[in-house]
This record gives sequence, C-alpha cells and structure tokens, in this order.
Amino acid sequence: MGDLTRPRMLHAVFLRSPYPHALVRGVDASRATAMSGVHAVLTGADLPADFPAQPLNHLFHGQRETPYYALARDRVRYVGEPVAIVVADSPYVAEDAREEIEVDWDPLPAVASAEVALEDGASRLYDDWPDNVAATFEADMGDVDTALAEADVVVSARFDLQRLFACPLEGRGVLAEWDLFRDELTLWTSSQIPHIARDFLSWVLGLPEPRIRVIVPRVGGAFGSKFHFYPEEVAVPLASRATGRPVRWLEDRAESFLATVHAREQIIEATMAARSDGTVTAVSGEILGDMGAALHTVSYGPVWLTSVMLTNVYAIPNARVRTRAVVTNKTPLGSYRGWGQPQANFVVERLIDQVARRLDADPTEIRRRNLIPPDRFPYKGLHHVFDNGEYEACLDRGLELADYTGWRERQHRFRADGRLVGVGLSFYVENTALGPSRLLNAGGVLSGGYDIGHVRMETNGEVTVFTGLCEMGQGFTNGLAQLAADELGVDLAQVTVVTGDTQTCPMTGYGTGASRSAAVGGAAVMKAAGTVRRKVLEIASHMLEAAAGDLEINAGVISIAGSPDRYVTMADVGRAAYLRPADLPDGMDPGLEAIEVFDPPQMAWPYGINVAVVEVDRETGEVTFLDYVYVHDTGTQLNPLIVEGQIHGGIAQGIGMALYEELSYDEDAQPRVGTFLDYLLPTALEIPRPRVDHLVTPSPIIPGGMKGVGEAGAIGSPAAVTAAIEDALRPFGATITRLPVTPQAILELIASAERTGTSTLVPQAAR
Amino acid sequence: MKPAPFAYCDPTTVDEAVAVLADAGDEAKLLAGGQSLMPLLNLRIVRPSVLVDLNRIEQLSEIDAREIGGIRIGATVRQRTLELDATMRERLPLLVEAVRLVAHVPIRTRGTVGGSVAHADPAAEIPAVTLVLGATMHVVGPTGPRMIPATEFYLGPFTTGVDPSDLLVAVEFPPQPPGAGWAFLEIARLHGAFALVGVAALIHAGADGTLEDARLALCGVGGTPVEIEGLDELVRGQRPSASLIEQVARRVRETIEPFTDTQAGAGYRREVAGVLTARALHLAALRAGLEVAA
Repeated sequence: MGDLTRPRMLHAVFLRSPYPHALVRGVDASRATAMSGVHAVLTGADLPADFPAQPLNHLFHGQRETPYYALARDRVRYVGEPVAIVVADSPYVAEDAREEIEVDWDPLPAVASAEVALEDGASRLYDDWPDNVAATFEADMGDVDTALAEADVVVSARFDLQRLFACPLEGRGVLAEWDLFRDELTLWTSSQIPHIARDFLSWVLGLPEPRIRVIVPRVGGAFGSKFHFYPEEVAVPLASRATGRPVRWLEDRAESFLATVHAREQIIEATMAARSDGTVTAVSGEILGDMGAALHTVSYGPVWLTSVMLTNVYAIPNARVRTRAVVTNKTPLGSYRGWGQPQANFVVERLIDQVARRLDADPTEIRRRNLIPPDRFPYKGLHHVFDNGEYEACLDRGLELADYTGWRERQHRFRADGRLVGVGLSFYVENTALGPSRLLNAGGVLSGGYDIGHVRMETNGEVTVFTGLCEMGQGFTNGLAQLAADELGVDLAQVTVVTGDTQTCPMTGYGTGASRSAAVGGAAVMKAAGTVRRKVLEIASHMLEAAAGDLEINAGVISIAGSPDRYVTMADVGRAAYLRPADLPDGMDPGLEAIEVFDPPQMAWPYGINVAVVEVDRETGEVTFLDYVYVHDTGTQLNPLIVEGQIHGGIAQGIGMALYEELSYDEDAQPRVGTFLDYLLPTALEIPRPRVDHLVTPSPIIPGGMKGVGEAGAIGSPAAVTAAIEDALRPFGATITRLPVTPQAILELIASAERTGTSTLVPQAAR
Repeated sequence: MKPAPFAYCDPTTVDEAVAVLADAGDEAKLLAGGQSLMPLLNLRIVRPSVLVDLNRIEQLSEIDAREIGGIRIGATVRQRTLELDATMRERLPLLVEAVRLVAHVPIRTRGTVGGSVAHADPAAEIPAVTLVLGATMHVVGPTGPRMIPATEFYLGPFTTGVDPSDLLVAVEFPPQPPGAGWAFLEIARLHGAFALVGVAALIHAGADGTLEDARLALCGVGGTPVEIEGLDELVRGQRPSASLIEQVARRVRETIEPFTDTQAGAGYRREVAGVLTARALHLAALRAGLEVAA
C-alpha cells in the first residue's frame, strides 16, 4: 500500500482513544483544522444520525449487537478506537494537527478481562444488556455425566491462552478515491475480502455496488487479520468525499498493536474422562472467549470453532461444551490462522497427555487407542463431519521420522546427566476448503462458500485466469496457474493470474482464508479451464478435420495422437476464435473464455502430527529446539514448495504462541505492549528448521484432490511445544496450562517443585 | 509515526557542533547512528528543536590504536566496523564479544560505539564493558575538552556526565595486561533483543596459575551498568574452582538490585545474573589458559 499513490493524494492519520472506556462529550478540532496543510478533520459528529454501524459477516443465533462505527460517536470502548481522521498534505503535518485536537473525555470504569467482565456489578459495555455476555453456545454429544461418573480416570485443567495477533509484516492501509463528479468510489485496501468489503461499503455509504471498485494490491501478509472490514475502510472514503481528493492512510506499527484485530484469548476449563485401558470416554469444556469491545466481522466464530472441535481426532463418544463470548474493554478479537482450532487442539492434546501420565502410559499409545479409525469415516463430531483420514498411518510415520523411541532412550541418559530434554506431540485435524454454501448460510454466515473461476485464452493462445481470491504472500496464484496450465496443456509461463479487483475479478463466495484458495478456488479454475479446453479441441478438430477425441495437447500444440506433423497451435486456435470466426465450426460463437462455479459439497479435513524435541536450560529456563518433525496429509499437493513454506510459517507462529507473543493489558485495560520491544515476535533465529513429510490421500470431494494447508502448521504446534517442555520438566512434575511459556515461568515451576515436591503453573494475579 | 518538526544541521567539525549545542542547550539532540534516536523521534517521545548530525565530522569516526598506550575509539565509529577490525579483536576481545551481541548486523552497520555509551540504556552491553576495562570518556563542551572515567560516567537510566551542551568525542581504553581471560554473556528473550541481563567478566592470573584480580560489570540489573566491587579480595591468590566461582556468583546476586518490567521480574534477573556470572567466569578462566577445578 505504501507504494500506491494517486494524483493530488492527501494523507490521513487517526486520532485514537487513549481510554479503554469513556464517553465522548465533544471533539474540538478547530485548532487542527486551522493549521496550514490540513484539509479536513472528521469525527463521529460528522456522521449522519442514521449512519449504519459496521456490518458483520457472521451472525450466530442469539448474538447481541455491539454497534461500532467508522468513527466513534459518543462512546469509546477500547484503547485505540478511532475517534477522528485528520487529512493533510503529508503524514507529518497530519500528526502535528492531530496533537491539536481536544477531546472532552468522560472516563468510565473499564473491564480488563473476561472474568472481571462477568463479575456481579461489573461495568457494562453496552447499557441495554443485562451483563457483558455477547453470545452463548452449547453443544452436546452422548452423556457426559454418566461417562464422568463411570470413568477410571478424570483429569481437569484450566487453560489460560493469551491474547496475541497476526502481526503481518505489512500493516493495513487504505487509499480511497471518491470521484465526486461520477459519484464513484475506488478503494485500494490491504485486505483478504475485497468483495465483502464492496458489499459492506455499499451498505454503509449508501453507494450502489456497481459504483464501488475495491482493489487489493499484493498484500504483505495477513493471516486472517485482514479478513475483516475495518472502520478505517469507511472513514478514509468519507475523508476523500469531504476533501474531493484521493486520501491514503497507512497503519504504522505502533498503531497496529491497537487497531488490528487481536486473537486467541480464551479461558477454558476442561475435563477428560478415560477408562483404565486408556480409552477416552468423554471431554467437556467451559469456554470463555474474550472478544474485546465488540463483535467484529466474523463475530465469535473462532471461539465457536474451538467449541465444536473439542474432540479433535479422537472417537470420543461423549462431549459437552458450554461457551460464552464476553465483551471487555480491549481491541476486538478476530481471525488468525487456525481460527480457534489451535486452542481446541491445545486443550485436547494436553488433557490426553495428562491421561497418559495418570495411567503411566506412553502418550503415543493413548493417542493411538483413541484415533478415529479409517472405517468410521465419514465421522461426525460435535458439529462437523470429517471426510476421511488415515490417522494411525500418519502417527506411525511421524514417530518414525522423529525417531521417537530413540529420543525416549536418549532421554534416560540425558536425565541421568542432569539435562532436561523433552519430547512433545500433538495430533491435529483441521477444517479447510470452506465450504458448502448451504452449510455456511445455515450457520449464520452471510456469504456463500463457493468460488468462481474465470479462464480466458487470448488471441495469441496465452491464458489469463481471473479469481476473486487475493495474493497475500501465500503463493496460491502459482497453484492456480499450474492448474490452468495443466488442464489446458500450455506452459506455466503462458498463464497470468489476475487477482483482487472487484471490477475485473469474479466474486469469491467467502474470501481468501479458511484454507480454501487452492481447494475451492483451484477447483473453480480447473472447471473453467476444462470448459475452455473443450472448445479449443472442438476448434482444433474442425481445423485438423479430426475427431476431438483423437487429439492431444502438449506445450500449447494440439496434434493428432500418433501423427505429430498434423497440428495447430494455441495461437492458431486463438486467432480463429477472436479474429477469424469464419474458420470456426458452423454455429460456434467466437471467443474462448469460461466462467465456472465450484461450491464444495463438503469441507475437507487434512490432519497431521507435530513432534517437538526441546532442551530446557535448568539454570535460565531458556528453551532450545533439538528437532521438530511434522508429518501430514493434506491431499493432493499442487506445489510442494509452497506447501512446505506454509507449514514452516504456521509452525513459526505456533512457536510464537507457545513461547513468546502476548498482548497483555493491565488491570485498567491499558495495553502494555506498544512496540516490538514488548511484543516478542520470533525471528528466524528462534525457529528450528522443521523436517516435514507428507502422506497423500486425495480429497474425495474436491476436484484435483486438494485439501487446504494454509493454517495447518499453526494448529498443533503450540500444544506440541508445550508438551515437550512439560516432558522435559517431568522430574519436577510440572503442568503447564498457561501461554506463553517464558523462561521465568519455567524457573518458577522448577523452584516451586523443589520447594513443595509438586509443581503447577499458577496464572499470574495481575495480567 | 512521524517526528515532530525539527531543524537539522550537519557540522563538519567538533567546534561547530559544540557551538550549535551552546546555542540550543537541551533543545538539541545529537544524531550518530540513529538506532536509538530515530524510534524516539518517530514516536515523538523526544522532540528536539534541532537535530545535530555528527556523521560528517571525520575525526569522530577514527580508531586510534597506538602501539603503546591503549586504544582511542571515535564516538561515531560504527559497531560493525569495530567488530570486524582485526586489531580490536586482538586487543579488545571483550569489547568485540559484547558488540557482537548488540541487536543485529544491519543495526550495527549504523549504530555507533559512542552513541551506545552516551545513550546509556541500562540494558546496553557496551557501557558495562567500559566499566570493566576502565575506559575514559573524552567529552568536549563550551569550556573545552575534559575526561570522565567510566566509573563516574553513568549517573542513571539514559543519564550520563555528558551535559546538553557537551559532545562525547571518543572512548579510550587503557592498555590491557597480556594473558587476561574475558567473556561477555547475556540473556535476551529473542536473538538481538535487549538483554535481560548481561555480564562482562575480566580476570588476570599470575604465572603460577592463581588469580590476581577479577572484574565484573552487569547490564540490565539497575539504572546504570553495575560494577561489582571487592572481587579482588575474594579471588586473589586462589586457583579458579567451581566453588570460588559460585562465591562470586553469590556476591553478585547479593549485590545487585534489579528491577521488574514487562520482560522479566527482579527475581529472575537476580537468579540469572548469578548463573551468567558463573558461566562467564568459567569461560574467562579457560581463555586465560587456566583450569577450573570441580
């Protein structure tokens, strides 16, 4: 976004609330507006009385409304909430002017955590609510109470999973150009959802969709945080309209810690029941999702997904989940790679490890006993139906590659030498290829799950692919190009993929996320490429006077099988189709393009295992990776290099969650993190090089057999790393239920165990 | 974020720079590598009315390594230049080892030795080394040049003996006796992040393998780098051993008064300071050619 400029462009910055909760009695921008170089200052008072609140794309049953606007109107509910936009000749002047704005704040008591928000008499964020609960969700399977009563082993824990966020390398940014003469808006935005954005902009601004064009340039990372429709995406167009000039806002790093949606924060009290032979009979969980100040674009979707994934890969017959999405005076919670699945995985995998410890059994054997066997698929869990899986084969291959038995043997010797080495596992299954439109709509999603692929062969035989999905550093455009090239029989270099422009690219039902670009986007492109291929063959068969069935295509040349000297090229076919329609078969229309839709009949469920081996420095608590192994099955792999890159990146973020990252707030709901001094984003030097292997069981329902892989690495990694540390600290009987695991926390665990003979990590009193 | 408005000047001599400072007083900020200053400017935490760029003053970027009589390092010598310099590695290996731990290579290509010393971040490595090596800071002010020994230089967090109208022009390290053992170790949450605790250790041994003295300074455990006093009495005449090292580590833990911040608690810093002290002394002893008895 920083590279995009428009003629006469102005620069915007936002004044954001320094209070976690306050009434806005008035905003005096007169001194700011009077400054040289300042073109406008807009506040909530400039919005018409009936200006719509920011729309959501997920509406779950019973969820309450948490209206928030492009600019705060009379109340702010988190530090960082946008209150005014300042438009000036340069960002420097805009920031100078921002300092001159006076706001009459009336601070209100703030709630800094979900637990405080639920206390009797807690300050309420929304006056017309009886409490601070935005939504509740329940799911049941079987009879948990009987299973608990009859169990031989019951383990319980409270898990405190921290607040963090996607922290992409490129922050957000919006460039709006509102053409007042034609009343048309062009919006460039660093986003994963241009079509949803256009839809929402139309609703909020009252401008018909055909007069809005949303363009997403190459995005420098997103990981879900840009699968949201933000207030800035409305405020900047309003500023453009007010000034009659293009206006650009670039989110700076310090701002991003407050202004981009946060993720992951949940408290989960969970229980698992098992028989003495290791069979898990029940799992139950009470989940508190800390949603921040409002339900944002995807509502409490990630917390919902945590809830329904609480059986993970195991055939647990009885399950119960009770979930509450709670509002607090912090930045709204949103999407981040994994979308609630890392949390569910963490809970289940850690409880399984506890069951194993109680039964004095090997954690791999307890898992093996409970994995859903191949003949039980399609398998229905708490909500979803899992398609297929060879879980045990994956487990075996993972343990083999990791040399699990070797590490257990070596661990004895290490312990005798006083070295703390641990091995931790996590097995995951995840939701990808979102998804059948009927299921999405039934589940409260306001968009479908289909994708549309548009393939066009040009006059010279080259190919253009149009997709509504966005390139954000995941490289999926390569995959789409491969699919089109394969299907059409042309070289990869002949294919161009166009993305992210609502004017030229077809609608994507959902957007770029939920591990669906290769599977759903790819299937749609394959379909369209197939239609074009059929027409190419029809034209070629006419030109060669041969049956279409006798033709083959290689490297852009269509020839008669067995007679390679009788051929036409793609360019010949293209010319005929566009320039010399007289050469076409009778009755055939000119043109060589197709638009096809793919709506997946089901979602796809890849799975895999993480094995982490760590050493803990007994004196400093520092953790070093000795090995990291990852074996998974994600169906057909379009591009193994890209798949591996996705895995590595997901693991890096999982390690960030396990050991480093936290957006902590004090008890007054003031953020403690403002820069990378405090937000510990792991560098390449902290991340081990994972050893990755793949099994390939093609998806039975996605053409091409692809499942999704974008989020996979992030889902099981926090649990595996934590398990490895806990295993390393086994001599101290440590139980780790709070992330991130810091060196200080590790030393405290050890010290505590040495003092008392047991050891449990207790949540800090002040977070 | 963008800085608040400021005037900029780039003098070519020390005298010019001092003249500007005399005028502007504490409204001026000096720009050397900018690796600490730029974020402070951009976040508008500091708002100088004039920025004095020192990078065109050639004499500040020179290293004067004399045959006899120590090494004088100009204030704007880049950290990266220092760590790659063969003479530095040979004659001031403790300093080089510490500099290698400052942030990351790209930052060290701009960051300066003098800047780190004058900025005096409590977590910074180089100030701790100046204490252990007995450095002297050369400062020039409106009344002319003066010298401040490292032991009197650091007054508080980000506060030194350099007044607003002064310019640090060089850091001078005295000649080091041969056969020293040295080590710099630190703990940070991420590679290149600010140290939670760092330890600079220097020991000298006699020909008979017994210790003559030990010097230790720590960063990250107080408002300034902390030199541990009185180690000479503890170690003189003794052979290095695990128990002697543990005594020193205990002295360190008992002496320092570390703080708690968002990164780590005081208790953790204290504990780890002792651990790093032991490891640094062990390594220093090995480098001095000594054996460490169990």
